Amino acid sequence: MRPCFSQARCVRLALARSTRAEGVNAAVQWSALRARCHQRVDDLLQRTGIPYPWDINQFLDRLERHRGRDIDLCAISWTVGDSCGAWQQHDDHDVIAYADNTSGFHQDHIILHEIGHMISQHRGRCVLSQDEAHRIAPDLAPAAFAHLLERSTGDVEEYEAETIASLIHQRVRVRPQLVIDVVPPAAAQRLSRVEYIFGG
Amino acid sequence: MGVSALFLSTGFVAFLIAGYRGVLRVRGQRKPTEFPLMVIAVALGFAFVFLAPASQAFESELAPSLGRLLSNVCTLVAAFGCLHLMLYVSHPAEQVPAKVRIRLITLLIAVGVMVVMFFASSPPTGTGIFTGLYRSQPTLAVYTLVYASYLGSAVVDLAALALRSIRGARAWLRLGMLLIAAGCVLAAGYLIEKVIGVVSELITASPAESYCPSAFATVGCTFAVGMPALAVLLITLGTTLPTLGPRLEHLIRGLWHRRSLRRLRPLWETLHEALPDIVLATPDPPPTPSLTGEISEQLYWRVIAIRDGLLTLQPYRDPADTRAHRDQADAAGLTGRRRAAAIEAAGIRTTVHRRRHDMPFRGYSVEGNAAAEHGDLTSELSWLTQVSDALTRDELRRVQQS
Repeated sequence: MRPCFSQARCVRLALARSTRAEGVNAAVQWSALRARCHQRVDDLLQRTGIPYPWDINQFLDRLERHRGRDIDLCAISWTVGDSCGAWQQHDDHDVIAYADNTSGFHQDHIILHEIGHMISQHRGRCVLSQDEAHRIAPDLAPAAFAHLLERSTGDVEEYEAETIASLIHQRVRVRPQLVIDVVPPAAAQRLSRVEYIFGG
Repeated sequence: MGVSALFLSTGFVAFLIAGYRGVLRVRGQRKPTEFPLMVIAVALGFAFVFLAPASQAFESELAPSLGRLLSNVCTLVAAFGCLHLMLYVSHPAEQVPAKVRIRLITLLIAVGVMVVMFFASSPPTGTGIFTGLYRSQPTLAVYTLVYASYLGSAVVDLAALALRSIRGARAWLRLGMLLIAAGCVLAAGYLIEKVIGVVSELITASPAESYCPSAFATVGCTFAVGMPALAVLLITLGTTLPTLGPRLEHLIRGLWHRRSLRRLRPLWETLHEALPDIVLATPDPPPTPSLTGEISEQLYWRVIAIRDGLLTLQPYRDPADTRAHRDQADAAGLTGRRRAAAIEAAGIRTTVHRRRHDMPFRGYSVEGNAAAEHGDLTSELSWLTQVSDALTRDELRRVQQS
């Protein structure tokens, strides 16, 4: 079994967001950021599609196939000062930690937030001291935390991840007009064209 | 139902649909298939306007039966639009312009033959009914058979597409495909009856068509007038519903979201006042939402912020408080979801108070807080709005005071 976070820090909930917003480059326009996120989500969902009915595990399966890397989910119970979500990048797989003591909808958002970091190829920064890292995950070498991303650190990357999560999560609610899993590939291609022609 | 009224209203629906597609195009929907879809709707609209007996009376003053010729040509243009669309289904979009040329040439030949045959004949004045003339004027029979053949090929193509797509289509797209298939069946019935009638008259000299006072006066009239009108209505609606349906759904959902946003306000204000950090600060915040999509997005952010707030308050939850709230809910006679929402609302008030006074619950254990349900936005909204309503009602405090 792969090592898993026992806890992680959540600056998103621990720090004042308005304060963190000051750290954001004022030149970064919300509309430009949104356009960038829309593009990333469109590109991703064009390749993975969205399972219907929505299931985060099925979506992660599709993402794994698309990226050619395993993604392990690791449930944590959030406490004050901890992170309610984190992404750890390993050589051959990724680990997403998420708070499980909240609603399923909120859990999905937290996981999608980390996926937002992932598809945006954010580098993040390590926010844990070596002692803290050792405390929360004694089995992991401190270097393994080099790419630990907090769910919300207040910089542009965090807004991007949060926006991507919301965009993906909102697309989930759109009822698909096709069920291409039940037909052969050639018919699926034809059906996609039918939807393209007649669909919105 | 008067034939003129039926045809003119069918034409009006087709024009409305063409207008709707035009609006989509102006708003940025620039799919190459929008052009043939608009051609189909406009051509069918004109076909029915030209064919309405009221219009034909005027058109016949210019040339006898001119309305029928104009209407039939428009119908073939619509059929060409259908064949054009079929190319987009069977070939990649970039190959379609080259392949559509041959279909355009076929259309021009068919229309050319029809025009020559029409003017080579002596069609009657009035409503363009060729009854009893096919045997004496075979040019009119050629005219009708060329028309029926070209239209028939488009109907068969469209029907095959719709029928093959029904299985894999869902929701509005499936309904659209069903309507198109039904429309094609009616159109095929109309064409078969027409061809049989013409051939029968050529062979037996018995009249192929008779004047119809209304669309469904006789079986013959149903085939000749009622079915083509219904077929056009069904096909145009079938091509439009897959785009219009989701937009209507979106609009209705927007109204519901606007209401939910309003209902969440008490809960939101309670949490935001205690935990201002739950608002997502943005570099350049979006303007006040007004469109449906913006409202839905704001609602989404609000739900996430509320959940963040509730998560932050968890360490301040004291099981003893929850037990007391349960007792108060029972004393108030509350049951079911209303009871649960009232207990949750009272718990939020208490934890907000504890948080303000920095009084976390010493015995707090994360294991004690099992993951809540509510897996999608609909169920999440249903629960949170109930909690928000319960905060406003504050029923447990009244029990406490009494």
